[in-house]
Amino acid sequence: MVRLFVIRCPKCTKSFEVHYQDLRHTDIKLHCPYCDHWFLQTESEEIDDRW
Amino acid sequence: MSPRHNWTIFRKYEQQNLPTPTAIVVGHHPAFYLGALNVAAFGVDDYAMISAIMDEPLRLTPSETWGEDFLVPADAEVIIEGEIPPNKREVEAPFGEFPGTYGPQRLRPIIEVKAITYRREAIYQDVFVGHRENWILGGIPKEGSVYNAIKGVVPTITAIHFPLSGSCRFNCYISIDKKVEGEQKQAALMAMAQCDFVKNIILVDADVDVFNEQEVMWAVATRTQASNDVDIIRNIKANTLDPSLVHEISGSKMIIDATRPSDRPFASRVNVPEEALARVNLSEYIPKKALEKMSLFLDSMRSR
Repeated sequence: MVRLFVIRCPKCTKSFEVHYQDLRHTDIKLHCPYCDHWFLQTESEEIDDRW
Repeated sequence: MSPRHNWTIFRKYEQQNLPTPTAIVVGHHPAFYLGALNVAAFGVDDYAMISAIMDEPLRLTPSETWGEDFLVPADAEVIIEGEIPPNKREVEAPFGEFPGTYGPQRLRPIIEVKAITYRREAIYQDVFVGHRENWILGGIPKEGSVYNAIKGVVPTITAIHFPLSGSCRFNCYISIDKKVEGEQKQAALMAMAQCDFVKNIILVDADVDVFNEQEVMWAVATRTQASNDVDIIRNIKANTLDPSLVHEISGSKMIIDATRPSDRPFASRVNVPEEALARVNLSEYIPKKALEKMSLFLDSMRSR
């Protein structure tokens, strides 16, 4: 697996892993696997994309 | 979709801007899955391979969507027919994957479902991904396919095993009745070429049982010097689901040669001679009652 980032869902506040190359710095909505909420990365309060 | 056979087919359609016809088989004879999870060369008829594993012809029927042009298994519990549209990707995952880790959310091709067919009272068979059921189902056919591939080039191979410790994919133990130096390494390279899942290979002599991980690790402990016997192969195609990769698809692989050198003397393995064992009469050392209990216990173990 290549580079990941971890993002916190703005609705339920749970975090999940996302493929960096495919989705970081895009305006594609992400899908929270915990609460089914779709959101933009700009809505999240915590993104960990260290590499 | 990992870059193997399905991906190759999909890419051919996508390059022509055509949808890829696809059928998902949910629920069939266990041998169907063992056959479907083989690692045969691209172009080998998977239905024929499945028939060989099942030891009977796989019954097929025309699909609802494409008729005779796309035959599907007749005895499946459920068939989902659909098309993968070209140049379309959507967000999916995280899903549990075979390494026992979650694959991240990412952009992936989708299937536009055209038809679903099913038996009366159909059973939806799921697989517990990242656990033993998933590992063993994939491991057994790979052992057979990779063994056959090596056997054609290195006939001194005696056994191969993809242990649970490597999700029955990443770690591979190969035993060989080595006749000349180097053929063990040739066997390892064949395994890597045959199956991109293979990541860490441990080579052992034929006196080591590859299905017994303790024995394999004993061979590593006693027959390996890291400075001489470990090879790292860099920038080789790996598996996209390996969470340790630092590149999208290529990575490094390791060969540990735990075979005895054949071109110089080497310490023999301790062994109780058969004739010495045959001379031992347990009743001379163990009280009769205790011996009877032992016999009963051993009998019950054998009958399980």
